[in-house]
Amino acid sequence: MDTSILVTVVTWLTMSIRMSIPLLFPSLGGLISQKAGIYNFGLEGMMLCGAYFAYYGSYKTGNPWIGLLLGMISGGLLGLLLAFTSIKLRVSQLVVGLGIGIFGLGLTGFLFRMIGISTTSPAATLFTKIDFGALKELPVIGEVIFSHDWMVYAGFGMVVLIAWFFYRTTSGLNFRSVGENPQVADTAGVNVVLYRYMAVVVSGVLASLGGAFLSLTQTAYFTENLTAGRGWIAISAIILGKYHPLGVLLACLLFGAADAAQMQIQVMSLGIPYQFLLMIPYILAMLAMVGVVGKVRSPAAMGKPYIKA
Amino acid sequence: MGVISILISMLAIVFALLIGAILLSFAGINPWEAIPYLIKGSFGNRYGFGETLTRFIPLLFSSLSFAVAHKSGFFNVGAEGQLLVGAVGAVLVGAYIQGLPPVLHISLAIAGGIVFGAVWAGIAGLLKIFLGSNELINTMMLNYVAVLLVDYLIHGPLKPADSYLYVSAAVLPSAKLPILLSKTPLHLGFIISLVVTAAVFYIVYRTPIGFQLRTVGANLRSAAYAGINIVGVTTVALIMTGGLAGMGGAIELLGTQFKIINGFSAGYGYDGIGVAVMGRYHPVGIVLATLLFAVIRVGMGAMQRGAGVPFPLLNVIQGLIIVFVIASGYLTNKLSETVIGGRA
Repeated sequence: MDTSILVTVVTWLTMSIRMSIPLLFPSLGGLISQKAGIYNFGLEGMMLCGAYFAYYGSYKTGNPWIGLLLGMISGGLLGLLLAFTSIKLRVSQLVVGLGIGIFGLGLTGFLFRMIGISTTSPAATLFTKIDFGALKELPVIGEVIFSHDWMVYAGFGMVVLIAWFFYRTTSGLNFRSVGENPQVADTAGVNVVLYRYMAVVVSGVLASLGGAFLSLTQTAYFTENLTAGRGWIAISAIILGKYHPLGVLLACLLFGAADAAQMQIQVMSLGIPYQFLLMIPYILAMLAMVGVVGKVRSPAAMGKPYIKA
Repeated sequence: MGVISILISMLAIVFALLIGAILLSFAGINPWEAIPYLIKGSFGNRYGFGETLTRFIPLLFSSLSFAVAHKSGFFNVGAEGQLLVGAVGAVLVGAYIQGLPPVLHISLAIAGGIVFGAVWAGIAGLLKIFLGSNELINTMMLNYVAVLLVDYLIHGPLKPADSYLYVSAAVLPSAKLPILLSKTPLHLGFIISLVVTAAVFYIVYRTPIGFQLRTVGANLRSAAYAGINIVGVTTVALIMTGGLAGMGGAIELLGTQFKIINGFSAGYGYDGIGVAVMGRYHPVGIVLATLLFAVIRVGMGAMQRGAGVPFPLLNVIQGLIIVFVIASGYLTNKLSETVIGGRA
């Protein structure tokens, strides 16, 4: 009895970490973009493209790295589109983001159906797991910590890297000033436009990594709407994480834990309709924003186009 | 300004269609062979024409829903969910209340849709008004919740005992909307949708509450300064935006599908965003844009059946139209500044 509870808990913790990653990458992407003052509401579309092109590249060449590269390029290009329209053309970032979301859903669905018709077993080659050797044999933490794909550790590494960049480097300070007060940043000699372009493109690449994680380490397949709204939940995680990389990590772990829990409850077949279990992540994303309202402050110039005086 | 902006919008659409055609040829389908299906299927014959105008109806409602919310500064991307939940409201009245005369039964069923849609939008609305929570995320999340909720309902509570399919009960004959054009699916909802469009824009542009609504949308701070009751006005906007989407769901149910199945909405709620953006939130613009989107949607179905074109191409084109049309606003402004010397 006790061992079975322990097994359940260990599985849950392991899954929690794993399920937080497809949210963590787009959340960090969205965070970078928002820190520089641009709303990225195209995360969902960028994730979907990342997932599809990663899948396609890996399935075609048998090399997941080529898939990953293709996925990142697709995310970066969509980021560039968002950057150009919101920085140069100064049109509504919200509407362009939505357009990118619908475009990504359509493009990936279209391409997938095109190749799906002609092939029998279109499975992508997955990344091989890291072999931690003896560490993997440790009780509990062996499975919880040392059983993941490299992308999981890359995600955590990215959190540290971004936190260090924002709060420990001069470029990071410039970066944040672009999102807080672009006029002052400009006066101080910071290239506002360049920083914003870089932020949004990096944001797209990170979002596509979240999608690629799903198709290259989890499913090996692409399905239409594979990301199931994670690009939107990621925005809620940014707010819950109070616009801080470490806060975003904690928020993603919370969402990951909820996702893992609902998956496990489904398997237990307790008689709860599965639809209600599947609702949990979405409802949690709504509740999360309620919990922190009034206590967080978003970057001051967010969503406002910068017009050089 | 008007002509330039219309021309530039048309150009944006042409570009979107062109990219769609390029994608098709990449996929090994000759666009020149596929396009005739689009034209023939959507308005080349009596049935196609009727089907296009039938698809027009829910698209118009969801774009009105988005446009009204937009005017009042509320970013409602939840028409998809509100439409679905509205259909649930309509099925409860239309399928379970017996012995009503048709006019009353239809009216009550539509009212059911309006109430349910407004309540669904109201969840996100209340979270925004009282807690300042981001309505874009909340309305989007509620779409996913609505799909799951309706999926649950048609697997259990709303499923007729004798049905082996996962569907809701069908609406009774007294709640069905009459057909307008024989040998086509076109029903009375078409007329209703046009009347409602006129009414909505009358309210928004010609009444005091409409003025307050637009003021709140244009500048919240000055609206508060002018003594406008923000909570009250926003509540009206919420009832309108959710009610319109819910009404769209109700009319789709009572006129076209009669029962709720999996995939009942088929993305009308998201299409409405594109329609409203393309129509530039203007009544005539929205009606024309709705017509175009309906043609593309029905034509895409014909292209799928006739030439094997995957249906998601619809979303590719619509996503591109949104991005291009909104981006072309920049060009419109630039041109107006240089050609006419004023801002559009």
